[in-house]
Amino acid sequence: MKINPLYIALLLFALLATVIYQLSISKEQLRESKVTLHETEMMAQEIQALRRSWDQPKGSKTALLRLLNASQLKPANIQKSVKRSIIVLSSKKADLKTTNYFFVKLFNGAFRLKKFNVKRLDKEHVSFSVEVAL
Amino acid sequence: MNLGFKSKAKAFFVDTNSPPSLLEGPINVILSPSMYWVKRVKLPVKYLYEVKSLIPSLFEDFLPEGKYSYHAYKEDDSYLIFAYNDKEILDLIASKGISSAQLENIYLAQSEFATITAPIKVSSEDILSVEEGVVVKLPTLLAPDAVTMDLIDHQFSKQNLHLTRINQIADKKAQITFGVILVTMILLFGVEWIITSSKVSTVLQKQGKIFETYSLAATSFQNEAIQAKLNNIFIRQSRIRDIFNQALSIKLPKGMFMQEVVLEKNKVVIVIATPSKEAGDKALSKLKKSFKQIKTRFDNGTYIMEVAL
Repeated sequence: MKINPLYIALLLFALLATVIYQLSISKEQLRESKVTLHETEMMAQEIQALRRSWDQPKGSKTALLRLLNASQLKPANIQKSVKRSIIVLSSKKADLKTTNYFFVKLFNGAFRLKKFNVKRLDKEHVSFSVEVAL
Repeated sequence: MNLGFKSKAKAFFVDTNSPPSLLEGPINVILSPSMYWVKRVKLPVKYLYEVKSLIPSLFEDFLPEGKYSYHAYKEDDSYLIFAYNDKEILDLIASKGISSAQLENIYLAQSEFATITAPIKVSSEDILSVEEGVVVKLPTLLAPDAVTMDLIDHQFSKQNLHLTRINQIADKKAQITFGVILVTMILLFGVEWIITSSKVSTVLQKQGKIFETYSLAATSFQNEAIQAKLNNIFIRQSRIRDIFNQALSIKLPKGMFMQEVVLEKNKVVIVIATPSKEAGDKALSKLKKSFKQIKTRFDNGTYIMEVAL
């Protein structure tokens, strides 16, 4: 049976159109997936950095306990109590030098401060209470 | 191709001796018997396609050397089979001044004049006559009184030759070249498609690895929520430190001192002992400039500033 060449040409054109269409879809998919990959990578790195700083309960607790053991803080007699995921540090009377040392360390570390209260007792002393989330 | 609707094409008889066409618009060509070979055969087959497959062997040793196309149709209890040379026909049609754009269909004299009862004159030298059911071209001398052919109201049969325009405008070699180009393009684009698809898979795999490496949640929505939550913590903690640092860096005038600094859920409260509200405002003016959403009040020697987080 003789096949009309026009039919073959039409078939080839249809095939070509299909392949080009599929190629354009694939290229668009590739472009989108590259953008998504880049965004995901950026987001992942940011989440990791934020987690390291602000979502390390064990690390926070260890760092706080190490801070409390510092000899410079002995005069303040800082009391510690742990309530679920919160650690409360308080001193009924601390001199300004010790208080300053304590808060500088606290603010320079990545501790999640929930609440605190620093109250002047007299010219040289304050009392304070700090809640840190773990 | 006859699609069944009435064609506006004019009929034109083509023979080696016929004059050139002066017609305009679409033309249906009727081929002279001199342009094809015809046989009437009786075959023990049921379908026309079976006949068509047999035609080349039925014309074997009958046709001169050349390349032929074949056609057949049934008439009564026998089949009429035809052989013709596409190129010769197209060349002849072209020599009569009919362009490929004008050419609509090609018919055979056999199918168009099989029913004539008397010879018809097709030129000064030739007539068409039916001999034993076959239309033949004969010299005019055999029928000098034959009437001249009139094609004005000619009703065409359905037996047109399937010479498509592509046959007319492009020879076999050009068709093959065209086909090869198309196939090559299909292959090239196809290969590119496969490569691109595999690249997409690779990128998706990399994305999966990122989720694994960074211990991300299963969906983007969850990860965005985690990122937003951690960002809020970062912003809040940074602001607390900024407020506190600025508050402690203020040098209060003599007679004024800081009484209390409190961090509550949504605000930082700074309490200073001061003789007047104006003095308190002045002392903490730096904080007022740096932070928005500030509330102040003065109560019995105590100036209270609340900075929203």
